[in-house]
Amino acid sequence: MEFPISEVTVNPFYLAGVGFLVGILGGFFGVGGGFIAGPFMFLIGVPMNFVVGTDLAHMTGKSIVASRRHRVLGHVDIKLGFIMVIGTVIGVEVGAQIVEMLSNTGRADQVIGWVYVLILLVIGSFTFFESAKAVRLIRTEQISARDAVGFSGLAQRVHGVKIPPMISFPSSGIESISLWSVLVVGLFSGLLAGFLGVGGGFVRMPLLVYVLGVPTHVAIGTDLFEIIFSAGYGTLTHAIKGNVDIFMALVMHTGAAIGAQIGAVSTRFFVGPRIRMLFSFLPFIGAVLVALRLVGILGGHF
Amino acid sequence: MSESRYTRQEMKHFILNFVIELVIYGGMVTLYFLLALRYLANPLKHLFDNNLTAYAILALVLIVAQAVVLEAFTSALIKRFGLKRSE
Repeated sequence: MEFPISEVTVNPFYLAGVGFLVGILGGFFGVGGGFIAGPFMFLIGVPMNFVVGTDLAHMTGKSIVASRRHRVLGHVDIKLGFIMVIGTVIGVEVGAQIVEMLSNTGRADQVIGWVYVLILLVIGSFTFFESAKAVRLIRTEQISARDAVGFSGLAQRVHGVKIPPMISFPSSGIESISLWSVLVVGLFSGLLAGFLGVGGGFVRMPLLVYVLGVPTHVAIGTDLFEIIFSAGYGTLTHAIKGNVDIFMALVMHTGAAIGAQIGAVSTRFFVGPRIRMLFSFLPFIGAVLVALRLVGILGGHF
Repeated sequence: MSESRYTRQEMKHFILNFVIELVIYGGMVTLYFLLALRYLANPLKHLFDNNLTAYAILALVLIVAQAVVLEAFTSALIKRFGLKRSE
C-alpha cells in the first residue's frame, strides 16, 4: 500500500512483522531496537530520514506498552527513571554538540560509526563474559539467582560514594546512593546516545545493572520507562522536521504492541544472568549492521 | 523476579488468558490503524504539507493513544467478560 505521508509504497504486513520482532526484543531486553528496525525499513525502500523519525514514533508506543506490562510485574523504578531522564537529556545535548564539532571536520560519520562499533563490541563482550560467570556462580556456589552478578565491584564502589544528597530506590533494592552518581550515569548514557544518534537502551541497561547495581528485571523495565520520554521527544523533533510517517509508525506498532507484551511477560521465566547472556548477542548484531553500513555493503548513511 | 516454577494447570491458565488478551488487543490496534487511515489520512497529509508543528503534536497523540487508550480499553473489556489479566 502507498503511505500517504511519505508517499512510499511498502507492504504493511512486512512493517508489522518488523514491529513484532523489535517489540519482542524491546519488551524482553529493554531496548528500543532501532539498530535492527532501521536497516529492515531501509532495505524495503523507506527513505533514511523517514526511517529514523518513524522508528522513534513506533518506539514511543511500544515502550509505553512494554513498560506498563513491566510495571505491573514490579519491574519499573519510576523514581529512578525520572532522575535518569534529567541526566540523559543533558547528556544528549552535550553529545549532539560533540557531533556538531566533528561535522566541521567532515569525517563525523566515519568517526562516530567506528566508535559505535567499538562500544557495541565492548558492551557485548563484557556482558557475555560477566553473565557466563554469574551463571557459573549460581551453579557452583548456590548464589541466589536473583542477585547473581559476575561483576559487582563497580556497583559497590559507586554505592560507597557519599556525596550528598543521598537517595534511596526501594523498588531497585538500593538503600542509599548519591544522587550525583545516578545523574552521572544518566548523563553518560545520554551523551553516548546523543553522540551516536541512537536511543541508548543497549547502553543504559548494562549501566543500570553494573554501575548502579539495579536488578536486571528492574533495569529492563526502568530503561523502557525512560525510552518513552527520549523517544517521545525524538518523535516530536523529527516530526517537526517532516521525518515521521505516522501511518507507517501505527502499522509497525500493531506488531510491536503484541511483541512487546510477549517479550515483557517472557522475562518472568528467566533469571537475570540468563537475560543478560541473551542480551549480549544484540550489541554484536548491531555492530555488524553498522560496520556493513560503514564499508558501504548496506546502504544509507550512519 | 526469578525463574518461576508454575504448575501445569497454572501455566495453562496463564497462557490462555494471555492469548485472549493479545487477540483482543491485537484486533483493536489493527482496527485503530484502519480507522485512522480511513478518516485521518487526508487531514494529516494536509497538516504535514502546511503545518508541521500541528502534525507533530497530532502524530505523537495518535501513537500514545494507540498504546495507552487501547490498553485501558482491553483491560476494561477483559474485566467485563469476567476474565483475569495474565499478570
